[in-house]
Amino acid sequence: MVTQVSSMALGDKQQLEADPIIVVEELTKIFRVRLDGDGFRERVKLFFKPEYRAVTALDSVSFTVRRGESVGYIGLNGAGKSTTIKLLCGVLVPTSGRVTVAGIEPLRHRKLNARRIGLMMGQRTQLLWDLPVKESFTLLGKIYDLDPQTYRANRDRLVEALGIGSLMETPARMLSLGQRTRCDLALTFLHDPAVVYLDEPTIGLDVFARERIREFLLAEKAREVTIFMASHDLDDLEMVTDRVLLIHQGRILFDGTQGELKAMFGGQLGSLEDTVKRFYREEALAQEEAQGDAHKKARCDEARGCEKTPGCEEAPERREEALR
Amino acid sequence: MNDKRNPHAESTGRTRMNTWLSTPRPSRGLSTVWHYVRLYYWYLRANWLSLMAYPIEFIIVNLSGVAYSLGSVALVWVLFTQVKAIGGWTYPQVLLIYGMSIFSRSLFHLFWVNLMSLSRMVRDGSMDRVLVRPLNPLFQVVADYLDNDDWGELATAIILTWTSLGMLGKRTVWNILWVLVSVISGSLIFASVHIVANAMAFFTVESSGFSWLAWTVDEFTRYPADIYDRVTRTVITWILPVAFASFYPAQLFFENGYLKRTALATPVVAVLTFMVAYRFWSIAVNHYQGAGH
Amino acid sequence: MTHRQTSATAALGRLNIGKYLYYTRAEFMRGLRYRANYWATLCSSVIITIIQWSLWRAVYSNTHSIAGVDLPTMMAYVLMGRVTAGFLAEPANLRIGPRVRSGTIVHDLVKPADLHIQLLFQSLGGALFRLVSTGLPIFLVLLITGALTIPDPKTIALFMVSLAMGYVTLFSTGFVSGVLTFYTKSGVGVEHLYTLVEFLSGLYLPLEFFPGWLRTVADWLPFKAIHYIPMAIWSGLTGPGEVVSSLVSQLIWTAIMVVLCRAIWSGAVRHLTIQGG
Repeated sequence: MVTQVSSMALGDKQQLEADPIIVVEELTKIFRVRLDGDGFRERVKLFFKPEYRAVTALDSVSFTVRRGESVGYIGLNGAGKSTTIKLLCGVLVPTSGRVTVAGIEPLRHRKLNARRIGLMMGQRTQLLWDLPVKESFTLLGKIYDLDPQTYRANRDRLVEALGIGSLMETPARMLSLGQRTRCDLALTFLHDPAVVYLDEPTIGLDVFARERIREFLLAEKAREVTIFMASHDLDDLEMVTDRVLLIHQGRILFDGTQGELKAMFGGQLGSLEDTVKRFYREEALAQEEAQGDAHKKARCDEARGCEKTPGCEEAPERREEALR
Repeated sequence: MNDKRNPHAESTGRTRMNTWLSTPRPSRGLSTVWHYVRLYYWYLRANWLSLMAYPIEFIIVNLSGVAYSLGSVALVWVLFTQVKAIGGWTYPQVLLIYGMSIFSRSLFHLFWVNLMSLSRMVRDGSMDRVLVRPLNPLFQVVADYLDNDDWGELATAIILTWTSLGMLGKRTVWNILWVLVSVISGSLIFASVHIVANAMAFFTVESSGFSWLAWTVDEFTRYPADIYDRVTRTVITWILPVAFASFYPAQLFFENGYLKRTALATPVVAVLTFMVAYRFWSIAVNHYQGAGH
Repeated sequence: MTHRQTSATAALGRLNIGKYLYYTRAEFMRGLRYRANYWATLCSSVIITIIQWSLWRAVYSNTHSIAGVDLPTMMAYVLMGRVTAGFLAEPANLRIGPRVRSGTIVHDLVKPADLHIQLLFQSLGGALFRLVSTGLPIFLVLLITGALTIPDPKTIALFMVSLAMGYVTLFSTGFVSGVLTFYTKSGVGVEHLYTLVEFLSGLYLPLEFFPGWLRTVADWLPFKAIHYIPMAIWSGLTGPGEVVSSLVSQLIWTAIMVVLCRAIWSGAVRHLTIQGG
């Protein structure tokens, strides 16, 4: 605490421009889940005497993100992506480990951190549902206490960049998903955040809408905004991010540039998507080997290298099932 | 409402430098209060504009609000067509207590109703959004939505209080001021109860039951508190001091009133209750951040 | 396809009770899932019981009989009303409007089950859960403390029959207003109006207390079949000679409400399938 204060006394500038802007050290998050029980009798029993199960969402995860870098966060459903983002934003307290964003711990300095970060969750909008889009901008400008010049400059720039000028008078509930996502993105960047967390920003969008958003994110990246983006759309990540983190069952399995990831497989797999698929398949195989499942192993050894073999095809899905 | 845990707020404010970082202005004490007051206006404005998108609903809901409060007043009214007094309290006295009770309740409803959404906000993740904004979480939850469903009940409450004060011969400016102070305090007490009840959403996913429990606790205030047994009376005076929302402050107007000195403590009780509730709220938010859902 | 269609029609024709009882069971089990909610609901019920008990004791502090009703009868009426309050609570999730607007109505319509009957059995599960989990403990406590006494077996049997019909009337009231939300576009105000229904059903006061004109209004509405008739039978407010006629009038009201439900529901289905909502 004391060291922090003295370093902060130097002023924010050094802290914010310091190279690693997000530092994650041995982050672990364990949730407690109440058991439901099947069958009538068991349910009645659990009603009077509940039992719990510990679920490890994140298991000692460490990584750093440099300022201005854009990082893709890849994982199957339930791998711990959203949990990580919540921990980075300071919404969740870790079971153990530490998060530092721009020199401060988001949890301790919630409001200060809040001014520096932007969060967009693809499935949820922060637009005022029944009001014209411009009202959402006005209110958010007030919430972040932007002075009028900054507010106007930022709004105009974002409206221009995302092409939402014609939507400003439309009530949010009448927007299409693509239009709404663009407006949501503009709101996320309105207060000039230094770090932006994007959780599935392009979910459910058509190819043109996605292209537009990629272009926007590349432009923001050029303005040295740090982008941390979790997505199932690997084409988006391939275009926008420099570096990727692969998470599986709460652990980081790969941390490096896209080039490095592709090089693991001799570079003969073209797209990021193919590479990642291959990566998870290999991982599933390795796990099965470790579990000593001799029969499966034999079948998959045979199939190794061949993309279309059913036994290996289903492996990632089954793991996914197990993760849920 | 300043975040006391943040020792850097001021220093950050002074050093404005990065084009890509909008720095907070130093905000402490009065300027913070002023900031929140202005923000509340902007939230109110957004709420009102939203409501204007549905003008017919606004009218229907408030008419049915009148029907609702008439339905609940009908019990008292019909009862007094049959009896002269309830537990020694006359018709105007019971009516005044009832009127002040729903007065407090409707003020609470008008300004704090979004507390009831907390359970949903936790479930659908809106609470996470609240926690990544640079504002007090309770303020955001409360300001985020107003339903304006309760103007009808407020009107009923005002009529009841006005009429019963007239029947008691107590309709003076000072008395009306005291009624206003009391019902504002009362709404703060109700708010405290509801804050605690709804904050249970941070401990368990299924908390709508607690929300309804809080509405039930409010019902204690509709009738004179001395009709209850000793245990109940102690609880609603000292633990969940909802009796201060109607029964105690109304005593000042009654010839046979008692505990008139206690009645004067109403605003103090309200502020203290609110402070305790706010403390509980903070603990609950921390728990939520620890456990997650 | 053909096979499935015929089996669906057959199931509807026979009114496969077993299938619908499955909904009842599932809804009952759902209640068991919400543990914390249960304790909160129990507390609410206890509080309202305390308020009602205290209020009526105070009302009767200076008199033996009001509107021809004495204190023990009144207490039996009011307290039994609290015991069954969960069972006869406003049924939730009957709003058709939101289902139509969110599109989930499509799932309801493609199922080989009748939504009206399905909801009836589903709500029954919740009602039974509340009766067993909150009504029963309160009933036992009231019996032990002597606040309630048990009437003769014949009255109990008639009360049970009446309570069952009360449930059907209650559900039908909820269902009719739920289908109306489909036509009114939004369901606002329905909950508020429900307080008037509660008042007219005699939940707060027996109809004997109503002034003449209000009594007439209540008599010509179906709502007294929900609450007043069963409670009046339990408490002895309805004399032994009038019980049968009381039950017959309840049966008539229940039948009217069920027919109304069918009519309004088939109208809504026609509207949905032809105009697409």
